[in-house]
Amino acid sequence: MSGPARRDDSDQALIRGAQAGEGAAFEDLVRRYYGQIYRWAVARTGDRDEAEDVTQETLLRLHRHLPSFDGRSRFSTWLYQVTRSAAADLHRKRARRERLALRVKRHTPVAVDPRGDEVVTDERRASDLVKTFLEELSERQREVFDLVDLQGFSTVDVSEMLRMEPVTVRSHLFRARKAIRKKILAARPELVEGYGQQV
Amino acid sequence: MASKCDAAFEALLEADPVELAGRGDSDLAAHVRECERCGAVAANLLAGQEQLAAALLELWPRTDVAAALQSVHERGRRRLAWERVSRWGPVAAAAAIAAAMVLQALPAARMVPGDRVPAVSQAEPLLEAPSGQNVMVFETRDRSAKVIWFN
Ligand SMILES: [Zn+2]
Repeated sequence: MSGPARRDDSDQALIRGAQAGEGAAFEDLVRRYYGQIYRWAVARTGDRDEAEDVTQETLLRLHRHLPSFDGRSRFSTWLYQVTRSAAADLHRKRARRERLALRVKRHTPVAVDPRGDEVVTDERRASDLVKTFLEELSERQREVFDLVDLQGFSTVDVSEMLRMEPVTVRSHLFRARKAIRKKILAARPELVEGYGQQV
Repeated sequence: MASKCDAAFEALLEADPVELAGRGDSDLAAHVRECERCGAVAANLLAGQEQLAAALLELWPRTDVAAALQSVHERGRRRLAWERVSRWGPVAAAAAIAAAMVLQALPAARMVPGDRVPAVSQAEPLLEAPSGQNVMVFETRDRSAKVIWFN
């Protein structure tokens, strides 16, 4: 797709600079991809707090592994894999911690959002919307749907990013679309009246 | 017509967004352009997905990018320091153990204040460290035995 590809082209100078140890180039590269990494992490984990940790871990790994990026794949493809691997590792750690916490039956107070219940920001609304839709899907379906339909990567790009057969990518994509679109239509029952198989 | 719409409805649930927009020359895109009812469904689905994409773009990490970068630099520095310790720590420990063994093995009468342990003689390298590893060789008082430490 043109969006991600265009950005990859203009990343080259920053990547070379960062690989040569120029701090400013590394920081510019991070600024450029910071939100993107976070959104990938949200789509992957379905949880904003976990996504926050994944983002931080991804930046650390980017800093450590960027010198080994050889440019054979697109930078965004490579970075997505770094994000994915960070998410998988942190998820394992978190699951282990949660099992331990459960074992010692430690109770912590419920976190209270300092913004208060009455303040419903645009971001909060957006967050709720994303959660409502994405929580219906499996992890794979979330990833594929986000990358293809929301971010504009082609199914071929995504099969490379996820190291998955294109046919499997399409299968996850179709299942994800079906689940999400049924949910979209559930809010407008009048639109689906009269069809043989309703939502 | 009804069965055509039923089939179109099923297809709309999995179709590419361009087809939902009625673009292209597929049968489904043509039906979306021609059929008001399926066109309305497709438009609603497209709007829903666009709303979801926009909502995702609204999300931004709570940690601001400058703080995230600072944390990367700090953790990077800590990791480097740790790597140095873990690379040389075992060597230092081995050297300390070897030194203790040498001191223990020396006759007590020679250990008077001011005395120095005899320097280890210069010799040809016994062996080379494998790539990426360090090696230390410790002489012992038994000239037929040497301690070799790989790290
Ligand atoms: Zn129709």
